[in-house]
Amino acid sequence: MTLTLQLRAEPPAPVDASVLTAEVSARDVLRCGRERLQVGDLFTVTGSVGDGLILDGDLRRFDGIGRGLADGEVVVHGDVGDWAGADMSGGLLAIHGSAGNRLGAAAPGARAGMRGGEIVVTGDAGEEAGAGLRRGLVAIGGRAGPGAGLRMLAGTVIALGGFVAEAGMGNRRGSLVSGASLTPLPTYAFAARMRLPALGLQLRRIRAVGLPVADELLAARWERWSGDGLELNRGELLIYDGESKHSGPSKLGLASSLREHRGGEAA
Amino acid sequence: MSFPIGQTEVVDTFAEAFPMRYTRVVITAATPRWAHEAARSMTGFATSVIGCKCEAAIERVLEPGETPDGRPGVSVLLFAMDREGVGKRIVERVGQSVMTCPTTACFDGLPGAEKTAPLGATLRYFADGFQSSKVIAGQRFWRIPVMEGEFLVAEKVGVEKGVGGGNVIVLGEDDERALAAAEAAVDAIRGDGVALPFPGGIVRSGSKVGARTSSQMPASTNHQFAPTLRAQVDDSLLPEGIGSVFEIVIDGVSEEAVREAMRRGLHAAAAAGAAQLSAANFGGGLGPFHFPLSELQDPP
Repeated sequence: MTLTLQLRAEPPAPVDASVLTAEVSARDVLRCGRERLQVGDLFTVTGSVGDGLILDGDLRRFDGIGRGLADGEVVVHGDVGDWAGADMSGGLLAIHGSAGNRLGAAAPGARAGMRGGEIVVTGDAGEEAGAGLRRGLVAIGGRAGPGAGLRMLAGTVIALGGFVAEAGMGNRRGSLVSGASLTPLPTYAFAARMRLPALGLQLRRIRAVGLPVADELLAARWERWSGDGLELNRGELLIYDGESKHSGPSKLGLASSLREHRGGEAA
Repeated sequence: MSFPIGQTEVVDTFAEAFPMRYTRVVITAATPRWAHEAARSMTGFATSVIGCKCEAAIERVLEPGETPDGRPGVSVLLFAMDREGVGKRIVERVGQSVMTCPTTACFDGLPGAEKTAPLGATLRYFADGFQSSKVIAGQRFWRIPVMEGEFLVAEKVGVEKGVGGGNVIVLGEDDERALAAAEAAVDAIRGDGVALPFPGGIVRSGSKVGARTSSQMPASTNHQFAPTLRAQVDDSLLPEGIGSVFEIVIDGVSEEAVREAMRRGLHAAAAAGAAQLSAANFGGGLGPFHFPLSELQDPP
């Protein structure tokens, strides 16, 4: 069974939407700026309580949608505000629209953020998507804003439209996947251009839950860059920029790398 | 006592089978060739739990649309006497025959099973600390960096109760006709839920428990069905005119899977000209699963 909340009118101030779970009722209270409103004041509530929640409308003023989700599904038709999916530990948050800042990210000062589950966003995401990610999957159909995967511990952040800038700073063991060309941070080092079976599975998974993943991505070889070199250097940045283009180090660059490597050995 | 299936006489006896534990793995690769190579290697020397510690065979070929990663695949069934045995053998065989094989990945073919055995959870140590894992759709996979690229393997595989030792014995006037009938039976039997662990699905050296001349031998030749010995032993089971015998051993995921596999095998062998059909048992005292051939007279 599924509960559906249809937005009736844009709220007058930002709303803490973390109470919007599959068990929510029209009488539950939401914080809207300094006000307290009932869910029924903002939404038309239909359906019955079960293991799923559908939110419908322009929810850009709603922060923390899906926050702390542990199981079940929250599906949103429309854009959402900041902190969507923060502190998730399981379940699926599917956003058919764009997300604000700090999608699935750790709270300020917290060492780890999301610990499991899946977030799928068909549009774009704002700054610091997946920051502090501990485990789980954040998949963005469009572009991810600056600072995606900031200090992530593990897990995966996929941006089919690519990352804007500074992706994976402080990344320890996490995977960042860029479906578009990208210049990695200088603390990342090129490893190889290769097919990655785990990535193939992840791409199939996000396709199954609603992201349009092109067949060419499934069959592609991806550049693998290791980093962040300032941390464990156990993380990775995977980049697809088209099979037809040659990428990775040029022959000159490869020779240069080999010289550096040999020099390092001699030292 | 006997009854006919088509033109073939069927001895009114029963096959005796026993409980085993099994797992299923799905091996995928870049091409059908490499999936098959891995599966053949993995199921090699896995004919009899007595001599090989497990029994394993290719269950069927999988189309790309049927596999978790959308590549060509093969499903393999592996049987042992208990879950611990399944766990040891699957790690050995996937480690030596699948991980080593170009382009392969290995998946749990029994997702959701209540009992499991570790697979990638053990094999990951081959990565010498460079392993990493991903949880995808609720299942954990291990990524093992290898010289080719990366080997992806499921953390664990399901283990279920199965049935081992179902069988059909195919008798022919000569080796050529007996083998042709046995081959037809194998072709009919193979499919979902059954494994035929012997080479090509056929065993020409069926055995009995123990040996007369050596206490070291857990099994010895089934002299009752050996044509060479017809005039030499008192308890030969070979009727006049039989020159060669083959056995098809069937392990299955359930009693029903074995029963229906035997039914398919009996009718296909009869249609292919078997002179007589029978089954092996140990008097009924070894295994709790009995498959009377008389219950398999109706065609599949």
